[in-house]
Amino acid sequence: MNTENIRNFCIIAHIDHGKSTLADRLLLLTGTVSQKDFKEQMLDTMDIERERGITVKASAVTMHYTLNGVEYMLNLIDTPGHVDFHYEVSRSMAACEGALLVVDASQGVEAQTVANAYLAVDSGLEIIPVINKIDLPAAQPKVVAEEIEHILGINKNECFYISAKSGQGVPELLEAIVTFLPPPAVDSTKQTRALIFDSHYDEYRGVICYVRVISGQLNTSDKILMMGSSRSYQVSELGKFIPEMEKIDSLGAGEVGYVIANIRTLSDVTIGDTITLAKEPAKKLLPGYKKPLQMVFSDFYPGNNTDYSHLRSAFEKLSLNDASFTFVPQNSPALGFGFRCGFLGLLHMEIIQERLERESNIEVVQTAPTVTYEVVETSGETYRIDSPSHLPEKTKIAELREPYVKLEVITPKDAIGSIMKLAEMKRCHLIKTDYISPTRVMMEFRAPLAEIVYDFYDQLKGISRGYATMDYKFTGFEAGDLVKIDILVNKAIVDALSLIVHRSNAEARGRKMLVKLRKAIPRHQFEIPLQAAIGGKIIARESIKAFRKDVTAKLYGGDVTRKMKVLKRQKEGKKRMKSIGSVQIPQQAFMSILDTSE
Amino acid sequence: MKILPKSVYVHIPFCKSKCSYCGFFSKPVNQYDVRRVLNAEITELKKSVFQKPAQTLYIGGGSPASVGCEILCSFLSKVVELTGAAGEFTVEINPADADEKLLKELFELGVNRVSIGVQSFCDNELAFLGRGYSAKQAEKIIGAAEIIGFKNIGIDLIFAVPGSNLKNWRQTLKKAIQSSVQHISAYSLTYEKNTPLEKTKLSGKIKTVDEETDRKMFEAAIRKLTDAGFEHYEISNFAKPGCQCRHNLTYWKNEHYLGIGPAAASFSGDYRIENISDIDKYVKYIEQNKEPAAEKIKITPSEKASQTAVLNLRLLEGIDLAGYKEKTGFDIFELFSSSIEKNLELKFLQLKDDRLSLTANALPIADSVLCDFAQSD
Repeated sequence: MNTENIRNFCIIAHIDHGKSTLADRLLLLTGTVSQKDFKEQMLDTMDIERERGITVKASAVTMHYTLNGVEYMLNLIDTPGHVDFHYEVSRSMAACEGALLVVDASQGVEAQTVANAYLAVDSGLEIIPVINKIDLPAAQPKVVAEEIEHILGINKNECFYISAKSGQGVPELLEAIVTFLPPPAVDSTKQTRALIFDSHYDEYRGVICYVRVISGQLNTSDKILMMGSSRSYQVSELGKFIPEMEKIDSLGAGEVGYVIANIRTLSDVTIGDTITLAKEPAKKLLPGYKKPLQMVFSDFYPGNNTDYSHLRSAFEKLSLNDASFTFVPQNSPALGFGFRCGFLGLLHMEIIQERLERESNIEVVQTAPTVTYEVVETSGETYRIDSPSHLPEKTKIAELREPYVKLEVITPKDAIGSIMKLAEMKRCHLIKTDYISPTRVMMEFRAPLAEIVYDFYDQLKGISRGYATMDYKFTGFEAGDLVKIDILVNKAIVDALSLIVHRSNAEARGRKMLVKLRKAIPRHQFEIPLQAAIGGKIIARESIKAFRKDVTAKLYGGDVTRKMKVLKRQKEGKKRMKSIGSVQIPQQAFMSILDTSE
Repeated sequence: MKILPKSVYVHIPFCKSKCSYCGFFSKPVNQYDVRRVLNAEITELKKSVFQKPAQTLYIGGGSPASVGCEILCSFLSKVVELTGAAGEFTVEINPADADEKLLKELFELGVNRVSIGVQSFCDNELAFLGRGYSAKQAEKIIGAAEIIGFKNIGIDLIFAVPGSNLKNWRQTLKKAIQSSVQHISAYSLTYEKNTPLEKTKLSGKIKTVDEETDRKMFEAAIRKLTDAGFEHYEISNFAKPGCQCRHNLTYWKNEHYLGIGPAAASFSGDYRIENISDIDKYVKYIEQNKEPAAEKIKITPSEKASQTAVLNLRLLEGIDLAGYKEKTGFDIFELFSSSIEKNLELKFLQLKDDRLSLTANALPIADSVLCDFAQSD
């Protein structure tokens, strides 16, 4: 098809603002899906997405639409809604020329919408502002249009007012997609270049790559080369999603579709990589290619009824369709065998945990999330660590840096005071406050990621009664007054419990840990001192009192067999616990110390 | 060569009314044909193999006197015919069921030790325990036994009874010392499984004595009784010199013994045997010439070694290291190396004069140490 008649676009929306409903409505209106075959949220392929209203993996669907006698090909590229998937979102956007910015007429602009809208602007996309759910009683379309103008600088008169649910205003919007959004730019590069903007794993067919052809053409018989990873494959199938997979012989410049090329594991494909032809490779990669960067780390240990090998195979299975999390086996003397996992962000972590439990029926115990730190040694050597136990000795450290983010919070104005207090506690610096409407405000902070991953979101939701939304974006590493807290049980350091925290929080965090430990460790034959220390200096202490009485009063001839059984159980009970010196800690209790949920 | 049991225990599984805390096997005496049951016990004793004359003979219950003086005495005379005159011949006495006449007849039968289940010298505690006699009555029975000529009188006491305090307990200890008995067993109240008392506790209707007070009571007993010339020889047992209960020492030294009657336990050869806890079935089996055992467990050499260690350690003299190897075939330091090392370091065990024993610190929490010996390392 002539590129003039192609429109590639995505939808940017906050959770529940109606992205999927609008997509469904477009599929219906263009006749891509018949009313008969229609089911809600057609594009979200995984259960978890359907239930949580979150789109984890991007997918693309091709629609055909005729306006004034001319046939157009509309490619709707679905993007993840959360900036945890910032990179994936940016790659999806790189495959588009335009975006529909959908905002709920009763909720207004949310933090994630802002972040994604900025990203779309940065990617050079043409934006059509859409105000959805105008038929709701609480709808305030005009106020929301003002918000959009104020915060995003988009003329409020350009807004489309629709109800994706009833279909009101959607035909006009569809027309605007053709008239308002530009066709793909013509790329004069002779060689074939296609951007991989997403991929997923199919049990029967292997990896399916979603691609946007930028220049040249892809054919079914082609031998292709992934330029970033230098791997080459034979194409076995090309096609489009309409929305089911449909085979075609070739994909031309400007078009969007899928490539199957006998790729066995998802980790062989990197999103953002460029596909070219092996026989006549392009000279340069498409811009923007990056390896996924894990920023948040957490340990996963097998929970009840689960063993280590089970957990490993579950992780392997998951990694088939999510190449952006990492898992490395780890053996902690205190906790046994488990995995240290890296995630793009907090939501990503939650999704993985939920998918593990749902898809593999596995129970996991998860430690509190931590972040990557950058160590500068006195020798000048700089490297990153994802666990406090990897810190070199203190004398070798010239500087310790922690990741910072740009944090945006959108909140009703009456929560400003409490949010400021929370922000201060969490070492966030307010950059600016912006009224986006008379009642709502957007606050921008410079914030340490470590504070954000540690229960910030829960507290934010709490103090704003659920109304505040937030988003963050990694900006870089900055030096900080960071210290390592060691936890000592009966005067011995327990490696697995060490933490890196800001000095100002050290005492509070140390104390909290000790209180949890005190509750988790059963009383022993002797008093057990618990201490939190920085270097050699004790910053908090607690103690577990000894039990005072544990003796059978009567033990005569008839009692021997029964009593021996009881004592045997008592001994086995001791054995099941982890020994730290002469202190025994039940493993499950130990994990509850590290567990994030309280 | 098989060593024959030298100690015989005879269980009389009856009482007039069951005390709420009691976990022993015992039934109301008026619901059974007592003579028939006791005849069955005589039959069992006749068939049993043991060393004659027995060194110790112990008649326990239940409450032996609950069957009545005449029946009890005629039963005991048959028992003695079979066992021969034991060096130590004990009968348990519940003050509620005993009188001077009974004690006199027992004395004449050759009983040379009585173990009186006094439990407390505080009337409110006796009432809580449902004992059915007063402190005064208990004192009277002790006095009577002494006058009749018993030279070896033991009493049982229970501490940490709900509602009691250290002061009450010291009072009971004082009266026990004044009563000039030769042997005192002082037990912390145990909430035995499936007893009415346990149910009451689980329902939260009673306030149990806190752990710290319980420990202080135990320590007070040790201090007061040893000050008064009693030797603390087992976790719960105290005796004037020469008056340790030889029968019970059999258990703690892990020597063989014979148990007769429903629910009675024997340790004979390599077997621990427990008779059936059902009076009717017991009688039926005996009358049908069948073994009345409900459980017969073969004890392996390493199990025996483990049981010997646990039981010996309940004695304050502890384990005689040379004797242990001779009896069990194992070097205890090889079998329990890490358990011993750890507890020596924690000062819960001590090594003295070729004996390994619990320290004073370890006594109140002995189970947490003994459990390390429950199976080999």
